[in-house]
Amino acid sequence: MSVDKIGSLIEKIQINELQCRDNIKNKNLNGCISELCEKLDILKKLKSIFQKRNDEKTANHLLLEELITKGEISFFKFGEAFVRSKFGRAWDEVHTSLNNYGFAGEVADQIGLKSKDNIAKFEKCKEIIEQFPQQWFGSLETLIKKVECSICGKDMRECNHIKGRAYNGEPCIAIVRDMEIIGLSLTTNPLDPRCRLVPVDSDYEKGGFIGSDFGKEKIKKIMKEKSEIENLIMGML
Amino acid sequence: MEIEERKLKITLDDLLKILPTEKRGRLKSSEILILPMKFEDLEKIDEQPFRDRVIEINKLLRNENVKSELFEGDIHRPILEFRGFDFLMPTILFLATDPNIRSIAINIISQMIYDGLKFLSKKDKKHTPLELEFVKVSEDGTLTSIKYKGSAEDFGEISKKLKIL
Repeated sequence: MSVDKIGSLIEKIQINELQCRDNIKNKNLNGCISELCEKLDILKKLKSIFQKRNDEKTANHLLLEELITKGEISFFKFGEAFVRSKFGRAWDEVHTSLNNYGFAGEVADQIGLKSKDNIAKFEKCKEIIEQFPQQWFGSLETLIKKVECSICGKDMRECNHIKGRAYNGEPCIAIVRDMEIIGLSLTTNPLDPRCRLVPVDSDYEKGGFIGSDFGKEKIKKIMKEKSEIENLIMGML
Repeated sequence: MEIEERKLKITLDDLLKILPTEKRGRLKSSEILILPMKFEDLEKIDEQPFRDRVIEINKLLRNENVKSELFEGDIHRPILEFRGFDFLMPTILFLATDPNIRSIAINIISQMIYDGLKFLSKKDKKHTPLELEFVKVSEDGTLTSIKYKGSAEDFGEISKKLKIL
């Protein structure tokens, strides 16, 4: 792969970022999402070039960019769902965003970078999450019998890769190959807050805030703060 | 926040006898053994799973050049995973008397808790429980359990006490 090819991909990213900023000025959330999805594709192409060269440092830097971009996409999706009063969907997206920014922070630590901007975005997501009323979640109890490493394909116990760390631009994921579900718990503090429980007759997209301080009053309060949250969304990039 | 210390009825030899002979020697020469749940019930110990995060802790210890082993025979024990945010950590048995080994293990667990808690809001952090058990071996092979049960957020404070116990 030539230097020209890399240069042209970087140029595409720069154009993409400019277009994204224009969309932010025009409060065009969907436009932002599609520009960022395009940026994500380019980043993946660029990363694969460095992965083939076994340039782990650059590949990990590009993984970091990829995660931040994923965080931004979910954040705009959150904003888009929120302004349409799809609070359940908004909740899911802001958590996806939080997870991506959080993992980006871990990759940044691993490669010795301090990304203040990323930390600020991560903290903003947490601030937003705190605005939501209490909910209940489902939490599985499982007996994990076989776990495979996403990096080398071996049994997770047999290799040296550590779950959550980046290796040549890829995150190490523990892939469960054999498991038994032994129970389901109701919890207010789940590992994945996207496993939310909603009443049978409610709209999953809108969400069912069935926890202790559930109430229309709380939703009204959030809606009053809507303009503030919209400004926050726009100020994220 | 409470730390409970108690002498166990079983000894190190009782535990090691459970393992196949060829594995016993290797595990006895290690510095840390990660134990399954309810390990004191020797009759049923073979049926007991490990608690979550056991693979990561074992690898992180080995990365720090600590000879760490999972307490299991030739067949892998399953791992019990709760998809909740509670920190139900595996039991760690210190075979080595070197305080540095204890320090390394506690630092690894502290970092793991810190990394997990940063995803939570202030309100949720306060309500996130942590259960942790260390087992130390005396010269005569008797075992003492040191158990912490409390808020994960307070672990930073408690870890200093655990290092000197």
